[in-house]
Amino acid sequence: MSAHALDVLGLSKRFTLHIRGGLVIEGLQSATFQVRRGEFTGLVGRSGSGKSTLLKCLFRTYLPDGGSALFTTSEGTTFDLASTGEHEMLALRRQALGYVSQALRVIPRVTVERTVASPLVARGASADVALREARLLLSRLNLNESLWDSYPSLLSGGEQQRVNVARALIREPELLLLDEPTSALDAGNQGAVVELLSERLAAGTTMVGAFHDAPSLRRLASQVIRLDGGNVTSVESSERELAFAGGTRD
Amino acid sequence: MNSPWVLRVDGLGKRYGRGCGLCSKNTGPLAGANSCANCGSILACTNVSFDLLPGETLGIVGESGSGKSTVLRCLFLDEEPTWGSAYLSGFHRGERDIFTASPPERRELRAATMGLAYQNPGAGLNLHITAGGNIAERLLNVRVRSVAEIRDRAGYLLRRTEVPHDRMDDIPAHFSGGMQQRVQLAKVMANNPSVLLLDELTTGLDVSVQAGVLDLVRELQEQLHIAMVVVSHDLGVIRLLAGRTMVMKDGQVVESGLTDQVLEDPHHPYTQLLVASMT
Repeated sequence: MSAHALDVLGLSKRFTLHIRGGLVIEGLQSATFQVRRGEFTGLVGRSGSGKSTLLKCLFRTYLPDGGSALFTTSEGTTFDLASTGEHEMLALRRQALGYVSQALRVIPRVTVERTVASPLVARGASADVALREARLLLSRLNLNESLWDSYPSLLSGGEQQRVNVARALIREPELLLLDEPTSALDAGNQGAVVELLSERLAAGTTMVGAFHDAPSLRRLASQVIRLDGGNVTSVESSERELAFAGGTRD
Repeated sequence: MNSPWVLRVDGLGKRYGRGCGLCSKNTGPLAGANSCANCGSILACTNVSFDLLPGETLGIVGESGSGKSTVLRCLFLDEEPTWGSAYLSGFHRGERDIFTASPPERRELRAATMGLAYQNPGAGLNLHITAGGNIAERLLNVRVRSVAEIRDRAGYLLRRTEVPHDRMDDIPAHFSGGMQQRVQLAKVMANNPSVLLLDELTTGLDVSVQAGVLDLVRELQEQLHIAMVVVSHDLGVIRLLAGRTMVMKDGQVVESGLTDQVLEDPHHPYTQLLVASMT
């Protein structure tokens, strides 16, 4: 089995905006890098440099128009995320891929705890088991218990972000894509998210993510990719602050 | 052998009129029309193909006249398609085109294998027989004969669709639009169809009532894992319900993909316009 969970080669994305007279935007140009299983690759670069575009290409919210992104599951099956069929991609999203956006896409009239639990239910878990798991994650992320039964649309941005993180983590994805998942959190709650992520790293989850703050990235990343204007300008390994990884609070 | 899909549609098309050699040039998104300027024929839809997997929901979005409802009506055998074929895993193990079915087979397909909920509840319900009677009618189609069994099942379905139990013996003509729509869903669900076709289910309903109907459909997805084709002009409905989406314009599919991809990375000019006018 490949030591690389992700092998990205020449991945490119260009947008043609017909409603703006055919304006062409180069979102990502020939990105090439590898990610080892169970490691975190951090993305850095100014806003508009292509971090989100890269993450969305890997999750196929954007359809790449060049290159490949080979994802090898822990069972040794390889899929090209850039070109695999739609049904296969949907199955991968259910079973192996997770994506945390900056903003929660709220499902109307579904409570916080059910929003978090639903990916597990969709995968066949009983509602009770899924809810128990959801509550565990929400309390790990310090989300006040009084909010669990309310609608996510009523929550603050920071609270919604934690719901979003919990919703992605509950299905224990093999490859987790993170797009500034803590941008609206205070230091304490950021720490809770980072701690949970480092536990998942230790358990073998592979991650690619952008963080708005450098300390979080230093704690998690064993590799840093710099992006500028849609180009990968460097791929460097970085020293993780291992003291933090696997540390427990209680 | 078992097919991975519950429904496969291959090259489906419907033309109203005799057609001529110029039809294909004169219609479609490039021509900006679905009627042929030469012979006057209407190409309501052409070359529609897709696979629907168990538990999957496919969205079809487009403006009125794009052909999306025609696709559903052909699949439900309300209309005779001009081209193409369709296969259901529950019909001769998916090996025979449903458009070649005999009249009794067609009745069976419509009564038991598929369900179509119409935009206008009056098209799917008899508004002048009771809500329970509407459901009974559908159950009788598949030879459920025991009155107790029928009342049980009707009661269960109306409960699921949140129609108050004391309205079971009322006629839907006296119901609100939202409740009529929920009764129609209960009726369509009565025989546990393997494929549910929903045509503009929430169009014309008040926003709060729309919400109730959409919640119900989501519940059917989550709890019964029923495969669905959802037709709507409303991208919000499609986003909420469908994992994959096809965009239709002037009778043709101009774009298809994962729903979030179609919405966030639309390729076709028409889809870009549609998405841009969304918020």
